[in-house]
Amino acid sequence: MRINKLNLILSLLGALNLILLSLPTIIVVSTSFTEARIVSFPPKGFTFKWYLELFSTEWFTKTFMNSLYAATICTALSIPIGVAAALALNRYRIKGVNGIQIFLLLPFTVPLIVSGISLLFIYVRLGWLGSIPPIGFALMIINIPFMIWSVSASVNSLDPNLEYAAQNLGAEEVQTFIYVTVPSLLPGIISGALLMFILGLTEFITSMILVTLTNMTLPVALYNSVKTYLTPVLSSASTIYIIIAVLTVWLVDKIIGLEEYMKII
Amino acid sequence: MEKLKWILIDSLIRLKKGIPGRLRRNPGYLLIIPSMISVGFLAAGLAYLTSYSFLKFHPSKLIIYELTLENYVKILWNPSYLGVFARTIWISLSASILAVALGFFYAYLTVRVESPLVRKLLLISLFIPFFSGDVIRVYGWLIIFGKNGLVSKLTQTLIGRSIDLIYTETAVLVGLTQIMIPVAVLMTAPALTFVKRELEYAAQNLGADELKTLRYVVLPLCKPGLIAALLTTLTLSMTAYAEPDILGGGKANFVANLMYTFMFNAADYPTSAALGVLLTSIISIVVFIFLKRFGLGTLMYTRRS
Repeated sequence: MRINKLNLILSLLGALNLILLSLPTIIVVSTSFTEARIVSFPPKGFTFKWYLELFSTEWFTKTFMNSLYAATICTALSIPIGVAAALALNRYRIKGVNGIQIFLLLPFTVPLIVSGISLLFIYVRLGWLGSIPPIGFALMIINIPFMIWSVSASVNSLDPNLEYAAQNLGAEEVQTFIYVTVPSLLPGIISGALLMFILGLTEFITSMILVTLTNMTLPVALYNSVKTYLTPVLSSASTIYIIIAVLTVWLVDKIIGLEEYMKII
Repeated sequence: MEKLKWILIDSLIRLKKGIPGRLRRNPGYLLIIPSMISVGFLAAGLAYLTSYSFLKFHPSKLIIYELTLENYVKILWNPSYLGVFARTIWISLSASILAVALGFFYAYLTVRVESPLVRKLLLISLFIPFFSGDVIRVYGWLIIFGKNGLVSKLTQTLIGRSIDLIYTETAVLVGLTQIMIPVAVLMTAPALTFVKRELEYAAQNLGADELKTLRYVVLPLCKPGLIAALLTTLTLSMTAYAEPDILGGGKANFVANLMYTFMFNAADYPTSAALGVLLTSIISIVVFIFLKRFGLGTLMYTRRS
């Protein structure tokens, strides 16, 4: 790049962006190794003791497992539901398709806190409070637009001639779907599923309203602790999340490529 | 294994044959059902919420089943509640404009930078905060802005007196902007990749400098992406809960915080529900205006090829 006005502005703004984006992460990770009993920056000394304490506390292991369970249910439900919806909307003629689209955008346009309270009314009626699968279901509902968007992009770039070719060669519709359609949609399904999992793992507003003590998820537990008292244990718990984020970035880069992913979602 | 596969496929085919003829030929209606039912849970809940907003609140009986508009009147005639709505709107608007401006340059830099290493760095720095979630980032900002935090220590050494930003609207604005930047980048990046490099070269051949090229060629071409980014970050910011709660400490409440307080601290479901209806309506109006004015294809599911 040549030195010119634009490059100078871009570099400065780029640096500002990088600082803004990375600062909280750096601070959280560094304070998890402090020897001080309070969260402070710059950290004093270096120790792993907060991690040892974290893994020995029951609230962390329990809520972390709950979160993994809920995020898995959210992802597992979102794949068939999202693929079906994306196919229906982009492949077939449906009466009132615009109305359906606006309806299916509801999770996106309704504020998360309103979604949480709305679902709470329903869950109380159904007696669904206290266990984890309903939390996973709620996480799926509020994030399903991301799955439909992601798969829709793949549906639109799929050449229907491939399916015709398979059927010309004698494949039954079901076989065509399993051996031609699904593999072609795989990039959209994978990127959508990854996003659903990570959104399910980190979501907390709707979860905060729906969970009870028995099915508490990690973000809610973390949030409650941040509100009451700050200890370096919180930093180490947050660092676990950051490690998961780093692993996800690595996985996305391996499977899809970060640049490609940026364009899909 | 092979046999099992065939049994599975055969049973699926038989299952398909069981579907009535018209639906089998156009399975669209069948395929849309699961998602409609799922979102139907939310819609049913919203209907509940809306009906609650018209019921009477009683401090000891909690709810009296009697239709009334008093919850809405209470909110709309109280300057402090209206102030919360005004704050929600103006901080969200500022955060979304800042995030889209910063995000646009970040996306531009990421798409155009020549060094693959820098591009990778930019992408990694974008996705790590995006994937680590709101709670962790808000917690990070709390340490930065808090008492004896980074900002107060820096200002202490630089200007001799410490500035505490925690529990101010500024802290909420900064935290919210940072959380919205990745969203803004992800929404503008696809639009940017459609802007052909040749167009920029053409403008520069004709004598435009880089800034003019950006202003008159690149920006107009990514307008749909920028507008989608603005709409998304604006609506997401308006629903913020954690940032005003943790970074504002009750001094910079958003509507979501007010809703939570009414619901879980005062058990005043009707007022909380009315606040929810009002917030959802404002957001729907914003989305509707954007759709009318700009015809937002990017949000629709069908036009994202």
